[in-house]
Amino acid sequence: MGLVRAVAVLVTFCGMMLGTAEAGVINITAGVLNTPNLGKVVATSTSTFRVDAASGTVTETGSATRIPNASVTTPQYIITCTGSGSPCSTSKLVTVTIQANTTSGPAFLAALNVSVSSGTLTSGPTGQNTQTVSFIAKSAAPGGTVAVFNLGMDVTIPATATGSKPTPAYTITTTNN
Amino acid sequence: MTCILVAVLACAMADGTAIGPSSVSRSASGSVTISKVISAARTRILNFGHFKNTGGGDCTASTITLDARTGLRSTTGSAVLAGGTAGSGAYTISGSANSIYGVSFPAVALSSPHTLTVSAFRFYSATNNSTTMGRIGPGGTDTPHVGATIFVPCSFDTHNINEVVASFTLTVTYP
Repeated sequence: MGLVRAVAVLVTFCGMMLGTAEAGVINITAGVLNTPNLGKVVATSTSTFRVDAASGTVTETGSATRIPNASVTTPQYIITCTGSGSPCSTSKLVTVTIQANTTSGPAFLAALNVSVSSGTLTSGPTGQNTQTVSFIAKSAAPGGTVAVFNLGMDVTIPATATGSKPTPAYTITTTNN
Repeated sequence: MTCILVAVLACAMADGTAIGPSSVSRSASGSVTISKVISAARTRILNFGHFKNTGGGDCTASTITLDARTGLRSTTGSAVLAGGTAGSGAYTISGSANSIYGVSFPAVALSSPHTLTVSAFRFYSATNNSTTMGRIGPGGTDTPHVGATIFVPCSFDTHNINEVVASFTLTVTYP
């Protein structure tokens, strides 16, 4: 009888927790399609254009020419937390990883770089100017912003890739503890 | 006792903290347009043909203008046209299909063989109604024409030789 009472108390306590601790959810703002847009380039040999995440400036390696060679708008992403339960708590950590999807094709992302403009980082960004960049930010209060970052990238264009309009892809993943 | 353990486990899972990490992903892409290298090849030289001075001691300096579109010549001053094989310059521009391109010329060039001053280059492409731009066709080429104006001083003495513009820099670029 005593054992049954103990279980009943525990179940009741558990039910109270269910009622008060609504699960939190990490959100990433919608993907920014076709950004940055490097515009028109002419490549006579394999060349790479590096877009700086913070400034949008484009620097060129190789013989390619970009017309005109002006700064571009880099995609900005906002990681937020909704809900009042975990992981929307400042004691939690959110790992943000950006991964280039391909390593070949008429234009591919040879590397990525990020500029974090808001958020409390506990690690990184690591892997800058490689194909996988990540950082860890502390989670925030419900409804708060975990991190705001801009994404830059190295776009490599093989000499043979003429007359096309490729859209090299990447994936952003958040993982919370 | 087993009941208590099951209940504790269920309780912990309901909180969401003991389930383990969760992930959210988004995909997006950049964008770039890769164009072919643009180039120009001359297929016909810019040729003012034959002309000569008239007027003797009353000569006034002349100009001969070669129309880029029609290839016809017009004159001012004492010079008169005298045959030859006059014609606008013709070029083949190669590059990315359906692309607009811009063209520019030197301010001044010299003719051959009499080293006359040539200026006011003019451009005509049937694909684009502009004096400074053309459009590469679906096949990856365009065939514009180039005209100009040649200055003929009274000291010029013709020898019935075609007066051509053998060398000048025609610059084509994607805008």
